[in-house]
Amino acid sequence: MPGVRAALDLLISLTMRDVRVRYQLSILGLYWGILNPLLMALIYGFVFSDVFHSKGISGVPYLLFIFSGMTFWGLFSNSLTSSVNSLTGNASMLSKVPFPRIILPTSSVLARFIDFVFSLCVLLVMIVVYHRHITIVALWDVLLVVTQLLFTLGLGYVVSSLNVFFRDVSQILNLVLMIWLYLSPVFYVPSQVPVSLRWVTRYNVIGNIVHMEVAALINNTLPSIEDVLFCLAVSVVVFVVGWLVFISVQDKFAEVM
Amino acid sequence: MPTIVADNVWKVYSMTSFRPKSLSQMLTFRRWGDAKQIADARGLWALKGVSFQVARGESVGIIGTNGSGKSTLLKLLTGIMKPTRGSIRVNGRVSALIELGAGFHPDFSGRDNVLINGMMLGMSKKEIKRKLDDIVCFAELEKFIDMPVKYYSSGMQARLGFAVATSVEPDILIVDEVLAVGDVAFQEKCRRRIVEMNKKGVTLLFVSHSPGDVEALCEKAIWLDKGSVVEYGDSRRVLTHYLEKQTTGIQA
Repeated sequence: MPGVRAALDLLISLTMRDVRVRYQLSILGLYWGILNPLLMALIYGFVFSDVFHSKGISGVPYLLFIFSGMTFWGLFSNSLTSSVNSLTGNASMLSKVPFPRIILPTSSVLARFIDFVFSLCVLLVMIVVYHRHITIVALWDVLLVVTQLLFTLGLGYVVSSLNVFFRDVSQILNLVLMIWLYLSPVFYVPSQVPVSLRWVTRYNVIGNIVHMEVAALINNTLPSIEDVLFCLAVSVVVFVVGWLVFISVQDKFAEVM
Repeated sequence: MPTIVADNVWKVYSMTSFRPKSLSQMLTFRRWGDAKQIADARGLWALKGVSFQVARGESVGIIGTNGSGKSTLLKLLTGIMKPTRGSIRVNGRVSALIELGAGFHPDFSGRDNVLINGMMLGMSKKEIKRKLDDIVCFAELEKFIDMPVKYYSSGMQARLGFAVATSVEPDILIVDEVLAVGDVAFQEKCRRRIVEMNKKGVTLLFVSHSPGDVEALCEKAIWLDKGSVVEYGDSRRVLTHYLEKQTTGIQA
């Protein structure tokens, strides 16, 4: 299938181009990928730890807890904010050249995955600096990150295609992501949530995934198989539904651009 | 076997239904209405029951005034859009010279853009890399290929775009007005390449406002007016009728 080969090549090239656009034309280049989460972690660390006296995982330095949480959360949130504009930002391509449209939001998510790999390296350095030991348990993160990517891609397909028809989607997305972040165990741990509000975090799939990833990496906590399977099942459904939504509306893109 | 079969093709743009662009618009328009109903009522169909067939290796010009549906028809042929009613069947690989260099990224070199543009047109990375030298040579950009495209003149961009799009080795070549870009020498070079491809069996669909170009390049012509086919046949005959109509229109 020459078409599939070409589509895959295009996906990879667009992903690399996306990463290069971000870094090639800035003076600090790649360092932005490191500086950004680091500064955010310092600020959130100050607000939540020193002002609000929030506690992360007991025995883990709060800054490390927050930085790792922000790293995994950032993969989700940055992917969505990039992919939401991936179609509308390429209107001329969409109305002139017939290529598989789904490549655009997919490459946006993959490009943010590459950013994530860079900040993960910083996180690993930080773990070493804090004298913590990474064990075999951290391998769970491979499965968890794949789960997270499926969930993210599915949502990315929905928001990017809807944004073609309603530009409000990108505005709403920013709002939703902010609320979603605070409803997720990134600055706190699930056990800190009052029992009456636990339902909020229980069904928060991405929040659960991020927390399991963080706990496995910096605290060697085995995720519960039940939770992993639940998140995986939901993510597969989200991915498939997102794909179907995208496929069913993509023929209209060229008309409304 | 015909390469292209258009069977009673109707097209209305979704925009004509006043589909809301934003939430606030959605709330203020009580009813968006059905695109087809509104199009029927106001006569907003871009294409109204277009049918024709093109055999393999033929060259067909598409002529008509602004807004006659030429570009809509081309976009349906390339698969960028789908017809509202009816069907279009295209057998073979299509390459469309609709807007040369659409999708070029200004910050990247000509080389990088050729690679991505080629892949968007359906070539694998290996295939396009093999053809890279030919493309650069045809576009006469050997000295500039590693420079960012934003420093290219519009003619240079068009040359590169043309070279990539024709390197696809398509079965069907769709050319829309692009010969108006670039200087005379380049136009002549493009025209020669198009003729050459057509001679090798590539089906050609050619849209132009220049009757001379259509007559020189195409054996047949389709005359579109307000979304319908007025005449389809030998290009010289169709062009004569078309020009007669145009001039009487001006006199009246």
